[in-house]
Amino acid sequence: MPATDDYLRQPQKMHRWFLGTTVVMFIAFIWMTAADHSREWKDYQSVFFNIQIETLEKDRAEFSVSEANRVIGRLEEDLEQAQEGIDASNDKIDALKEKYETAEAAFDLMGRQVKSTRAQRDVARANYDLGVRDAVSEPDLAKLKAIFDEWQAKVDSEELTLQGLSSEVDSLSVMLKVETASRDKAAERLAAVSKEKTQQEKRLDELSPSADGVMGLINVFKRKIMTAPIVDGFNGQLRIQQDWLPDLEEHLGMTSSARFDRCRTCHLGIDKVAAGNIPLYPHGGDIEELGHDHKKWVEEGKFPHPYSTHPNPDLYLTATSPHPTKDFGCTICHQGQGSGTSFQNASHGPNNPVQEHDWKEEYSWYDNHFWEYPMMPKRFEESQCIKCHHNVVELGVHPEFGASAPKVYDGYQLVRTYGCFGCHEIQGYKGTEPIGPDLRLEPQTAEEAERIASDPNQIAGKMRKVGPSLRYLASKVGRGWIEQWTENPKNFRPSTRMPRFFHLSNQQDEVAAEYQPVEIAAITQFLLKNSEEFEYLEPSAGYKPDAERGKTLFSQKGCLACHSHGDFPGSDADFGPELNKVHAKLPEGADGFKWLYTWVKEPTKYHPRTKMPNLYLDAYKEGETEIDPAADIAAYLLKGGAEEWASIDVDESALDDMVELFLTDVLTQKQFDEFMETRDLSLGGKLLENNLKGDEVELWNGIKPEDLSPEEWVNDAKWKELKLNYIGRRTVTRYGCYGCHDMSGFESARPIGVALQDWGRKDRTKLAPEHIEEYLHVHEFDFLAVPLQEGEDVEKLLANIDSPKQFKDWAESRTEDDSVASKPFEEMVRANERSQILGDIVHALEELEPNEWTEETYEHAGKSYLILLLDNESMHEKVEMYVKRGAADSFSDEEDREHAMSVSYMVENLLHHGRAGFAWQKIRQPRSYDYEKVETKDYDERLRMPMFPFDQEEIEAITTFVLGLVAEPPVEKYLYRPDGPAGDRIAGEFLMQQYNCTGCHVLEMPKFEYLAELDGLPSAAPGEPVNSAEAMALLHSLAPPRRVKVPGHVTQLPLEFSGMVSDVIDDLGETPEGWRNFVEAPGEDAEAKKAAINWDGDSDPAEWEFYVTLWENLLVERGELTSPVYPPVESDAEQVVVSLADDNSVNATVRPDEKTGGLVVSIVKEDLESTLKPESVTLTLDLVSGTQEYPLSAEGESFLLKKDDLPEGFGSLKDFYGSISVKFPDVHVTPSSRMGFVGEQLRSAHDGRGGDFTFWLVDELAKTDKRMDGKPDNAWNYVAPPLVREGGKVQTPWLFRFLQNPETLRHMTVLRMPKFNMSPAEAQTLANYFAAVDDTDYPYQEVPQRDAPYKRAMNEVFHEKYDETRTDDYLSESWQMFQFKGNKCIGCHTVGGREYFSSAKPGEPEVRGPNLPRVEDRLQPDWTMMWIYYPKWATPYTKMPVNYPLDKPSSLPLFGADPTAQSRAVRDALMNHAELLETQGVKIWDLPAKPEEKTNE
Amino acid sequence: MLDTHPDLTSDVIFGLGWLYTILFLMNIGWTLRAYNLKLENKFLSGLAGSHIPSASVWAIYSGVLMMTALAHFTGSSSPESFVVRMPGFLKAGVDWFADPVRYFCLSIGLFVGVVMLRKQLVKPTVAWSLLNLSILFLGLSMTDYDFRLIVGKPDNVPIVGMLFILAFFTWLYFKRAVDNDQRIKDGRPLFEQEKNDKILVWPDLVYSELICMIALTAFLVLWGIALQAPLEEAANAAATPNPSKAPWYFLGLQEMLVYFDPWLAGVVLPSLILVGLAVIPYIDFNKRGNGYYSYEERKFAVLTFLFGFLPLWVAMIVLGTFLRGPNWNVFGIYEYWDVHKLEAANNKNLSDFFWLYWPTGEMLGGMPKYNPQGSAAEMVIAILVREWLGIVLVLGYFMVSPIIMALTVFRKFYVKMGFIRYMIMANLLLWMAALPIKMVLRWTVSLKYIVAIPEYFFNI
Repeated sequence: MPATDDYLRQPQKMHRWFLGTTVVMFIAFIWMTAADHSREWKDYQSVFFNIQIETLEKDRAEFSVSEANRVIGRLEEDLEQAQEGIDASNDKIDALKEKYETAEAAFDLMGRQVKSTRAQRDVARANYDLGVRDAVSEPDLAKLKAIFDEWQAKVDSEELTLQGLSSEVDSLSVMLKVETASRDKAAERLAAVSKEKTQQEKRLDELSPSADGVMGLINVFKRKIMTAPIVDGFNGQLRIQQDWLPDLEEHLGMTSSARFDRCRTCHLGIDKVAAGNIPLYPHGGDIEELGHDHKKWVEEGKFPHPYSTHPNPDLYLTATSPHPTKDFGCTICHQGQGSGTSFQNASHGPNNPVQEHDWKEEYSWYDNHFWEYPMMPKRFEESQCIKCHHNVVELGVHPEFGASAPKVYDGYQLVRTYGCFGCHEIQGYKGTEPIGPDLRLEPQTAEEAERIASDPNQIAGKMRKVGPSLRYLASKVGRGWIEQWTENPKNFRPSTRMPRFFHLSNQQDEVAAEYQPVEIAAITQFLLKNSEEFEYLEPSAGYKPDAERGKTLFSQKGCLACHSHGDFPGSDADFGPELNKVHAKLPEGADGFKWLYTWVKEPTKYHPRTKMPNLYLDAYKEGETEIDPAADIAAYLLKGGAEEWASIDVDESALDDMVELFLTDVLTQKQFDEFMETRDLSLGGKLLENNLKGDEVELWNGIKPEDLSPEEWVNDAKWKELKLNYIGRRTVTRYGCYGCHDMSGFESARPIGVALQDWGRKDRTKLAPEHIEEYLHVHEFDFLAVPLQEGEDVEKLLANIDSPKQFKDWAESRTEDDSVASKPFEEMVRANERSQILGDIVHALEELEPNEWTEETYEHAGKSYLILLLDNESMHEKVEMYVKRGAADSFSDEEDREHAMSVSYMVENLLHHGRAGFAWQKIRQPRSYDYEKVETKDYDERLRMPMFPFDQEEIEAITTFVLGLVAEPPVEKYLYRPDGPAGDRIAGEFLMQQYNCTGCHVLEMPKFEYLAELDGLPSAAPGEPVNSAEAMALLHSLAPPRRVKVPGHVTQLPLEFSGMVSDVIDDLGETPEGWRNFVEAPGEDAEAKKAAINWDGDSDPAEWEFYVTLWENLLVERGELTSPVYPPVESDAEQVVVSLADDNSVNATVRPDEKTGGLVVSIVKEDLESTLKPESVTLTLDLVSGTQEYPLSAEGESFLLKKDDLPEGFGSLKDFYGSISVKFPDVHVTPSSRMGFVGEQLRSAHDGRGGDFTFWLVDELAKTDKRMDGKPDNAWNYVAPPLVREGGKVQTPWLFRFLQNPETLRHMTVLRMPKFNMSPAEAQTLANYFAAVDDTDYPYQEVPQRDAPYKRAMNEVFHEKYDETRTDDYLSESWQMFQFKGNKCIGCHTVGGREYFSSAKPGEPEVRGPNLPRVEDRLQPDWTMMWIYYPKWATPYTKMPVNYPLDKPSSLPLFGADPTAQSRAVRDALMNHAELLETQGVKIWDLPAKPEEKTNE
Repeated sequence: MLDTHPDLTSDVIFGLGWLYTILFLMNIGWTLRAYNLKLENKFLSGLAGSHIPSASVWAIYSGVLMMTALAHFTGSSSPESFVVRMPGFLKAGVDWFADPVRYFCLSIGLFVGVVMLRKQLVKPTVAWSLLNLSILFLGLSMTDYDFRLIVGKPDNVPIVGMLFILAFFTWLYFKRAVDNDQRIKDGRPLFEQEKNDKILVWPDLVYSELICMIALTAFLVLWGIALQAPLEEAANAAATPNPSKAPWYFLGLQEMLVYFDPWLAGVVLPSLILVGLAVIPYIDFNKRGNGYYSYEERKFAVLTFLFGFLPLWVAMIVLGTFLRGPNWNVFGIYEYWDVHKLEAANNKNLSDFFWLYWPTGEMLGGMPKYNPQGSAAEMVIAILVREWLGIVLVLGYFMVSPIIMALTVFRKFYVKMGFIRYMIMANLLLWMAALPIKMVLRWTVSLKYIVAIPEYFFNI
């Protein structure tokens, strides 16, 4: 319709509007598509493809300079030549080919023919069979049979023809192949050499197609198209990488769904490893450090996120690891939103506020609180391990992976040692289904234990209460001591684990000042009143304890394995309490002595569930004197005498206030007033005892008022006691004291704290941060307070002090001085909470500026102090400063930075109401959540959690553990709950820690690594049966060697081994002081080492000689070097040089031997100094006719292949295709060898595991005991034996019995294996543990030597070999090994029915070994065999000699004087000891004067 | 970096720079208009005693806006010390209205004010000034963290837009109505008759619609790119969000839940709203005002509708969206949504008043009790006795007050409408009035229910 004026709007104008809007619409559409197409992950993937291309290019560049590449040209030439040769005889080949083709066609035709004839034959047979079925007449059947026969004959003849044709084809094919053999071989060689190159090119072409040729252009175009928007959705090169994990469900609100992890979309290189799990793209730092140039990354082999490979591919992601990607994905461990494909959507978790800030800048990161499982920051990443690893133990100690998650393991151990579970139950089961680590108290009464055991739906807890029993408290300590201990345990013992309940931040007001003393006094009163009668043990009448002897006994009997004492500064065990001042707390005089005597002698009398073992400190006689070690030790510990402890004078009105506070919860004010008036809780019968049976039971006094006069009713003293008992009980209930201590009447009380089993998923809105944000702004004081002695002149003290640093040094030096009590000082160093600030010191601090000190002294608790204020910033200010410094990267050392970042993270997290921050503050300052809340709370509503002495690192570890308690176990198959050896190891480890077995016993010897010269390694010691194949096989099976595989030409390598330092000698030939520090702090640089031990001596530790006794079997396997060989590229070359090692340091030169016409090979090593001589050299030649191996014969320094041995057709070096292999000899070092090296060679040293006390005692004995001759090696015979390879040594059933009831085994040791307070099940677990560790069959081991077949077989051999007339069988002859006169065995052992009798000369120490009749039940036969062969292989320090050296004939005439047979006979006799003693008895037998040679007869 | 609630950040300041730039450009346009029309600012001219063109005033204002925008663009590096922000006393003043009573009074006041001052409000300069003020208010408020958090939520953005659109259409209605009222008064033809805008379906209508369709689609696509869908946490019955809010258009209904029992607020009232809207044509007997805008000729209809729509619906949505926070407590627009904020809600039923509190309570000696194991009849009687006053009042409200109204204020209506139509209208009106009545009773005497029969889930 034409435009007219009738229109409202001009069509022209409308068209313009239409155009405008469509343009906008178009732009919007383009924008939408672009926004949809542009994804972060595509950029990452493109970069990663470039990295791959670069890597390939690099490989290609490397290949291009390689030998192989050089040869390729030559091989191509060869191929060409061969082709030319073939071309020359083209006619012949063509004729052959034609024949071949004709034959093949005939064969094919015949094949078809046969096939159809066979079908006809089969039809005939089937028809015949049908005829049989239908019972056709005889003639008809015969007809059918005839038809079949006819066809069968035809088949036979045709098949014959076919075979003929087939062989003709075959022979023609062979003939053809022979004609072209030289060319085919050349092509094959070329393909083999250029295989790598072709593969590289193929991979490269896949990643980025080259535009070569038409196909190339098409490919490039296709690739371009496939990256275009929308099209790229159809299998483009860049695509989402997804791991589908249907079994690892994700919990989403009310439902669960399969987990989809798309993390690999950006982290493409995360699981890319080379053979042997070596990361292909190792992480090398942040992108800021490495720059954006990916070429540089490839060059340096360092890659940033997200391109890098997982740092621990042995443990994660790879197919050979326990956590392969396809089964585990990423988010089950790391958390985060697996389905997210952008940095933000994946919910990455920053590790500290500085990183968070960087992420905000770089990725617009924000805290997406709608995703409930944000990625764990690095500091807590280990927390998720315990979702599946409920035992936790394996994360700290594992035979293969070591400490794979040390932080969460530490947290677990802290929770275990400090007994957090006493108040906060950590329930590991939902019914019987495991949901997480289980830390619950064990049943407290026998009835409860039985009830749980009989309930199939319950599993009992297994943790013991961590504190001592208070059941008989009154017998142990007095009122004053309990009060001051309760008030502040560190006051008495700074190292105690008992937390503090009083004078914390929510108890700084007047109410608390009034109530606290009442609470403390009331707890004490209640505990004493509640204490039961204790039965003491006493030493025999008239026994006079000797404290001096007690001191020695204390040091030797094993007390120091768990406890420390100031008299023995070198030992610092902290399994049990430190015992410096134990005398001060016990009652004065006989009571204290009796108590300590009983406790030391029989700990379970005082506390049935104590971990303290029974040390068998029974009285014994030494000559005429009776010695009662328990009494002596008690006397020694009590030497300082008891101390007076003042007790609190309770303010009665405050007491009444408290009674009112609590009692009005259950009584009305009116009732309460009446009660206070009448002192009768029944209010004259108005109330029933039944209705008030909470803590109020303490107020019932059990007498009826009508029975007594008002004056007698409740007198004032009794009334006060009743009230104190009531408040005491109430306070014990409120603070949950029974969570750690066994107390009468609280056996069934429930833990008072929040259960923690799912705290890691606690709803964040349910955390109550209260005024914590404001609290963090409150200034905290960090100060040093130096206690002064009476009458010290302050001016004089400060005269030389000018700087805070000097003050600090001075303060520290003061604490070492015995005259100044270090206890309050230490305590105050820790005091950085306002609440802990003591009395007047607070005011002093407020006057000071940071880094300023007072010249006035301040008094607190009767002591004067000088104070240095270190810091009075608020936590908030401090963290702001940390964050600024972090952003500016201005921390001087990594430790400071990590501490600051850890604190900053926690504060930041707390401000965002995170769980981690909440837990951190709760542990650090448990009462701070009451900040400005106490004003509006009743006293009994205040927070009650006590303060533990944890530092930042420990808090972080505990937090890590608690965050992992999520009670969301994945499906059964993911839970790591192994049975068999792996499970027993875990259960055993748990008990090892529970009973501190490692206090005495070494489980793993210390480890050393030094730079070893392979030629300088020790060879066999005299008498060591290294030439006996039998003995060596036994050694290898019992002590599997540590195999070190090195390339054959290496002569020097860092060698790791475990052993014991036996000697350290400085350049003056003396054992230097401080050598232990040196061993513990090695570094490559001698200067650094000196610094590590604060070196100021004359001799240089780098030059010290170290001697370490090897405790394991070492086998250095030098591999074969193999390298391909090609003919020289230059045709006139006289020799071929082959590079054997990757570093080109070893070459083989092959040249024709002028003399013999053969080939001479010499091996040349560039820096060869010593005797590196190959064991063998093998040449493999690749000829047209096939490959052939030629071992070479040694000819002086070279190796020779004689002309006669050379294959036919091998003309000259020009035909030289093949390879050359060189094998170098292995090096074997047996246990007990002395490894010597100088300090400079030492690379690292690790402590090993266990035996701290034993190491200490060995040194101590070597120093103090004359018998040791000053040698630690001797002392090892007198202490607890190391348990290295214990499982392969003893019989498990014996170990089980021994653990439950340890008998005296070693007569020389100064201490005995104590009896631990363990159940039969626990003993069984431990016995199994050792067997599991050493991979022994258990729980029952066979002793075939006792079985008839073995005896019969041995008899047969015996009679055959030594047909002796005076004995009738093998065993009775064996028995003679113990029975001849002058037998040395009984010089050390009781054996063969004969008692041990000391062979020691006067003045020499006696050497007595275990009684040998026990051996048959105790030791495993193989181990016993090895022990007899060479005892030092088992225990390098042993005094046991090699009685039957295998390398020379025995002087003993038995068994043909064959030492091997004699050794075996001894073992077999020991294994049948009981039987032999019974059947043979003791028959002393004279050794013939001179053994006769039987073989001549 | 530790401040978890920064009032100002560089991004915010920079963004506001753009807002002021747009406002500046808008006012440049307005200045040109004033210049072209040669308008005079009468107020300032009066003060100065000489001719002061309006354009010069707008030019100065635009200049100030430009400077402000520039300050935002250049001063974004140190957000802590940036000065252009909502003053504290204004925030306190605005937050003072965060109380249902004050807020409701304010909305009623605004409603009355708009109706009364309609002739002034429809003047272009006044409207323009108000638009300017509202944008300035929004811009300044953006400097507050908590305000930004609520207003900036992607699903709250349309509601802010709705407020402006609503204001515009209300303004448009009054502009036309005031104009027509003046025409009727002056005896001139109506605007709709004078500017007869009958047009052709093609191309005028359909083509325009097509263009609008394209423009709107483009707008929605661009919006979709700029503001992503607000995904929140996975649904979990065990951990519901606090506050749990209905979709914005139902927030008015949700607000009613505060005052009424769910069956009333959730079932009866919504149904009545729909039914009421449907019956309007049948009960409307006023023949005037058909096909053209007018206020004077349809005062009752306009006021009733606007009252129901603006203070009782839109204002309730605004209250629900911006002021209701955790635990359904009321928070100021600048106030931090602290879950720990508490409000005492001790409400009493009418029967409680009667039987316990009033002098009658003393006299009657407590609430009538019944034996829960007794017969149903006993119970019903006891309940009826207990709730008699409420039942009488409710019945009276719906049955007696129409009669009283018919005799008094609605006399003419009754006559014109007849009994049935009148009763329907009166009841609908009474239902509408029930909401403010109940609200006022709640605020003044903490009345919970007039009739409270929890035994049968029947509460009014």
